[in-house]
Amino acid sequence: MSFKAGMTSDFFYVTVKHQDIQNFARSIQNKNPLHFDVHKAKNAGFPNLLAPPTYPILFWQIAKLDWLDQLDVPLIHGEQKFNYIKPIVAGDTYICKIYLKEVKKKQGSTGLLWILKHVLEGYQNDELSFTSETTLIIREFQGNEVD
Amino acid sequence: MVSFTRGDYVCENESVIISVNDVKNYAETSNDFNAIHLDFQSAVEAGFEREIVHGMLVMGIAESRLSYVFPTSFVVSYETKFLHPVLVGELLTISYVVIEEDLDIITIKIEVAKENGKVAIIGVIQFTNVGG
Repeated sequence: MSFKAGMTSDFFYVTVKHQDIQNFARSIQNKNPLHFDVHKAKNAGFPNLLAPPTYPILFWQIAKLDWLDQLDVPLIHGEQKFNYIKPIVAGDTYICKIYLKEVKKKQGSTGLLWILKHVLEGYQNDELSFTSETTLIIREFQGNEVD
Repeated sequence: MVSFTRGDYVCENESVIISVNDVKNYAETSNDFNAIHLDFQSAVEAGFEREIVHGMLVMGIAESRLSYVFPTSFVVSYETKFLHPVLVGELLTISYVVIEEDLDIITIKIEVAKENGKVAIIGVIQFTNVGG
């Protein structure tokens, strides 16, 4: 295993669909009509169905992250942030990338911890629309040493 | 924007129990089928008392409860730290306190407490109205 700050995925495209927003909202028990009813979303000033603020976590399903793919150990989710310049709505298409912003090592009580801060950026028309920071923690113990 | 001042509780504390089915639905939607969320034996072998809930599911549910208070607002930012794992089926208490409020943006601290009193998640969320 090997991690270096600066490792980056290829750019990938994501198109946000009505049903995906509705399914995701249901899965997190969000009944806000803005996530289900286009008319109500438009009446509230949004161009289409509004995605819940944690929605971009789904974009990770599409990205290929070589530095994580080869791991055979549990990834612990340490922290998560979402920042929006503009809201995500149905019909939007984003060009995205995920990169490893920071790599830290820390001595924990049960062994060495790797703390990997990732950033997902979503662009529309060459402008940044949102960012999402995901901090993953890997416990290193004998047999799964990290370079 | 609804009128609050710093220190106000936005709403009553929310009591939530996340069930096996809730976790299964979220796994299917998010494509996160990590066995520690879905299989008792795998969770125990990983050091947990039983299956644990996806951190992102708890984060999502915590924000969902606020949509009743800010039904037409837009989340500008939302961040959380996952401090202790949430067990499937355990009773959680979620509190929402205003930490800053100005003309266009309201900032709220979210705390998700476990049944044993430990804080599972702390978070900060900012809402603005769509025109803001």
